[in-house]
Amino acid sequence: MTAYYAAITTLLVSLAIVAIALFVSRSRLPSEASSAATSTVYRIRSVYFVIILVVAVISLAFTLPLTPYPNKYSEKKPDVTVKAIGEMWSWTLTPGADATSAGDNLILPVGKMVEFEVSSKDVNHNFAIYNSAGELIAQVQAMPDYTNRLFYTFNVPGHYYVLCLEYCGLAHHAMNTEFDVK
Amino acid sequence: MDDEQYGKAIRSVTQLWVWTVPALFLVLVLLGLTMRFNQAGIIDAGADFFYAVMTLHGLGMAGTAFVAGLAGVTYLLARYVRVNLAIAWAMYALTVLGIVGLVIACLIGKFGPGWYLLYPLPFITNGVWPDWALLLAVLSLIVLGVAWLLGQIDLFRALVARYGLTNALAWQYFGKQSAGRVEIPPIVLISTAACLVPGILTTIDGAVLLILYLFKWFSPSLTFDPLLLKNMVFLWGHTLVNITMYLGLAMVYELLPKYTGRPWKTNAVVALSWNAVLFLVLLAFFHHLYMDFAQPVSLQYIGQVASYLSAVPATVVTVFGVIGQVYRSGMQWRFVPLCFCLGIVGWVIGGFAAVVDSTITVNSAFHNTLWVPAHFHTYFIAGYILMLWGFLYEFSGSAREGLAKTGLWLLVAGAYGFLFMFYLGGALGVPRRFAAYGSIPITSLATISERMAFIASAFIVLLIIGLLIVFGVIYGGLANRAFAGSAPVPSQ
Repeated sequence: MTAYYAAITTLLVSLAIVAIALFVSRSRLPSEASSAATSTVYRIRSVYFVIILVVAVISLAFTLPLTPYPNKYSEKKPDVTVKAIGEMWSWTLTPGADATSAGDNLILPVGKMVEFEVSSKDVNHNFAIYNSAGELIAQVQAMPDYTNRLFYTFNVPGHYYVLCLEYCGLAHHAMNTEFDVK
Repeated sequence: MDDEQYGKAIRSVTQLWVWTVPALFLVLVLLGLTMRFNQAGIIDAGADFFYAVMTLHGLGMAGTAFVAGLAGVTYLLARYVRVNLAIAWAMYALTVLGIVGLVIACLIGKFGPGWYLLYPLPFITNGVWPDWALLLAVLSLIVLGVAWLLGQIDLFRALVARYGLTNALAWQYFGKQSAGRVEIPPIVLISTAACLVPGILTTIDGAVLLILYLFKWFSPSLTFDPLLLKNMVFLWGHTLVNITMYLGLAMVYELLPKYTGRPWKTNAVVALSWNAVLFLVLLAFFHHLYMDFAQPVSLQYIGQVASYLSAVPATVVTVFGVIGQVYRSGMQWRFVPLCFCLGIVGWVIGGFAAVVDSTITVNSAFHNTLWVPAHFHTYFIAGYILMLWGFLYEFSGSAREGLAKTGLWLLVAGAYGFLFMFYLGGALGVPRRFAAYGSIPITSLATISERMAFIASAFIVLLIIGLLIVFGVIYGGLANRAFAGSAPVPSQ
């Protein structure tokens, strides 16, 4: 839902910007009133300055605590751990002790916190999880020499897909895998 | 050399840029169209060709936009300072050399690691691009880096020689007003604080990165820290693109008052804002690494705070400055101010979309989806580029207002249609940098991605028709002007 809210906000603000531009461009007055018109703009600017600062600070206060990064102070122990390794141009998902698999197919439990330990054997990749409706629900970079830890709780059972979202060469667009949540 | 001779000389080199840039831009747009055609399934160019084209399109557009802005601002600053003409010519010649090298590396050598050459991908070729293509690309980028560093350093030298560093940064406006205060036009302040100081620093960063790449080409066993190099490439690339925008704004500050009849002077608020930009522009690049969870979290927070705060000086000073210029000014909507004001609108819309994406939690949904090219194409094709066309038209001396405006509206209509498909794709989670969508295993996502690429292609064709008209008018103006003889740049 984050993407939709963000997109709608952007659309509304863009329309407001166009409306302001139209209003300003259609304003007409003899040039002798020029200084009065400029003073009006600068008065509005002072008010705008305060408003945008307040909006920026409030937005930062609300959004900065929502970051997806592991927090060593408040971190809960994950229920399931999965090692996810990217390599040109495939993913290897290796379940830890608490996950199950049926043949090659990884199965993760619904409603349990999963930790993906994501890394790469060669170049940069990006471990992006999509649900079967095609919605991007979580992602993290897969970088060689580093392990990025992504925590996610799947509340909806179903079939999930992993796509690579960091350009990684010739078959980047075909680098994907799948798993189930039951 | 007297003022008239200098004016003619700097005009000659600028004229060469004005002939070159639209042609180059058109070729690069055609490369973009090729990519969207491929993604739509209209053509099947092959993934190796697609990614080589993608690399050339990215490097070419960022570089052309930047160097065109630098050349344009250098010309406009000729009213105030003189640059070294040999360096100005060298910047042109070396840029052409670098571009030729990149074209050969990408189109013949299939060099395709993306514009950002994210380490270690350029070195793990899997047989797609040969070693010589990598070497040629790195050397070409070094040549371009040297050319642009020379151009920036020489312009910086000229500004500091005339005004002194602190005056060029407008620090004299922070104290009490005194009779002897050196007044500087905004174009001097913007060029120094927002473009040249961060530009020189980050071009050096880029040069170091490329030299490391050169070392690794000669000695393949060398390894580097991928996270460090990722920080370095985005410090360079992000800042280059940002200061390109500011070069466009510098042109607007200098030329718009000519049409509105209102002065646009530096004052304490303007000085403070552009000095704030100097720092913010160097810190915002961290937002490119939000999804690298191994990056220290404090840097991620700095990225979001700097990205948010950069909207404050941008809108408070520049947007309200433009509104103050235009509102009830009785200005005639000629081609140049129309380009500038439409450009400001595109810059603000793209900037807002960028700030939205610079929110860490939103970035989890938008990172490396089509939202990213959506926002930066908005402030380029519907923003900065329009400002640049305004300058080119002004320089060309053309008077084909009606035809030029027709071209401009077609271009703008095509641009927003094409951009809307990018935004929609971003909101739906469509990945960027995919040669083809058919391999996406989620059928609904693959289908909608292809359809949006198809619609976007149609709008790009419209955009190209508009571009051709505008370029025709600019080239026509240039040809007539050259026949009439070059006018010297006024000196102060």
